[in-house]
Amino acid sequence: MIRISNLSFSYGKQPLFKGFNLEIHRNQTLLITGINGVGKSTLLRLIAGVLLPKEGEITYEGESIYKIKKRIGFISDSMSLYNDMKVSEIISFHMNMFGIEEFHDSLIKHTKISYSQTVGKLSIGQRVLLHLNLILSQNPDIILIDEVLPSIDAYLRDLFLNELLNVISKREVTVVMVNLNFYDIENIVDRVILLKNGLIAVDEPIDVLKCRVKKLICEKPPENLPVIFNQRFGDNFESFIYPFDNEKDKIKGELVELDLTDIIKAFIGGEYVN
Amino acid sequence: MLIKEFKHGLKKVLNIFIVFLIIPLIFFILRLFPVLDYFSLSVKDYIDIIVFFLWVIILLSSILLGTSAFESERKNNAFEYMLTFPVKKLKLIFYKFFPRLLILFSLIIVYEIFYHFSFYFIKTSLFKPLYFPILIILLFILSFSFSLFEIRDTMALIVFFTYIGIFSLAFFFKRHLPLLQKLHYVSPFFSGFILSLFFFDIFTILGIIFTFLKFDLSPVKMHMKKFSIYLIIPILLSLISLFIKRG
Repeated sequence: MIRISNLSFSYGKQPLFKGFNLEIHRNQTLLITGINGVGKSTLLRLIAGVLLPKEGEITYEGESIYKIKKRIGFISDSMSLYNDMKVSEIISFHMNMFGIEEFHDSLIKHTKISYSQTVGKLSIGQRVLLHLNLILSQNPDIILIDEVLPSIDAYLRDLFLNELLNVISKREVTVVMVNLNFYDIENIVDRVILLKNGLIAVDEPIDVLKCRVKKLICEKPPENLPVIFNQRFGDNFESFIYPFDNEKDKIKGELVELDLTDIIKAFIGGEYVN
Repeated sequence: MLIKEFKHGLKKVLNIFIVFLIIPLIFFILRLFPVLDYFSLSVKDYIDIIVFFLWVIILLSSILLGTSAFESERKNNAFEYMLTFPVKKLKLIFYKFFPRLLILFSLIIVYEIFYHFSFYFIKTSLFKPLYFPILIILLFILSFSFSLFEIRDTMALIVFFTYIGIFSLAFFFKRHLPLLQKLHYVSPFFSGFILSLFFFDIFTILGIIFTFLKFDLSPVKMHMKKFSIYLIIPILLSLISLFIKRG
């Protein structure tokens, strides 16, 4: 289990996290979401150990994450790799640094990546796939994936997600993802957290979340239900309700089931409007 | 990683060599054609010229090797990737520091050999076999410490001029303030100059280590602030120790 306890972090004087706590269970796939600048990528970087917290600690199975970096695979949105190295060089460099004995090119063989190409010459999608291939060769216990999926094409995205699913199904891996494109990852994610002002505003398993967030199409927004976001839809209103506890007697309108994309959109929309 | 860093450092030094060894080479070519050789330099003169240019090359190399320690991470946006490595940060410093120091030592040895065979041209303290390596290593450590920060080229200049500035300022005050001339030190082993270098070196190294142990992807100015606090102590100590005379 990844345990974040009493975490505080700030880039300047304004704290981003203060007394933040979170537990991520082993073999769980967690999606972190929230509006821009709320600290999603920062939280991922703190878990990866590339940012140091001001206070608090992050542990995995009771051990500090700084001691188990070998078991953490992190793909950042800054596409951080040595761009001047050839693909073959970065593979042997990565193997050397992480003590990997054997490298399986399970992903890059499908991506037209040549071993003699320099990393900087690869497309963004190829670089992401190369990085995923590198970190998977570590056999990591924790995989951290920042907002990289939207920048790669549909074929490579499928390849990326299929390989991730394959790993999740075969091994006990904890995956933490930051994503704003939820359509692709709906089948992978187990749990969703929404960050707001450095705290967790929503924390639900995905199935529960789907049951507890509903859209109500009505003539005017309901006053007796917890509405997180309202928007006009023709002559009607679309009201997003959370938490919805099957209060059918209070409903005056058409109730609509939502997928993960719409749910998150409603939460994020609510953040901006309210 | 050691090999990668060694190659990187060697590339830097070779660039300086190519630029600066052209001048002694011109003298050498001129010597091959007596008609063009207006200078009529002897072998002794050549050795002195080479020693002088080696001095310049090694001085610049020490700054460049130091300030370029994290250049590939910065240029390639690979700082984040580097910070994910499962190695202790002290080891990362070692990986960066050691190959460059090795290159510098090899250069110093070459310099010392040439200096040994030089004749009359350079006999001031800054060229002497004892002071020169100290100066070089100190400049390298200072430059290395600044390499963590983004404004590398500016920092290289600041390092050089701070270094020159501190000592010139201290010597100026030492000469013009009679009170300070009365300060004496009882140790028969160290002069103030050596002590100041020692303080500067030791505390700067400690400063680098403390800064790097806390180094992460936070904005660079936060780390610079921390490092500048660490640097106040060595600057003060070295300034004070410059006024100390051998007992």
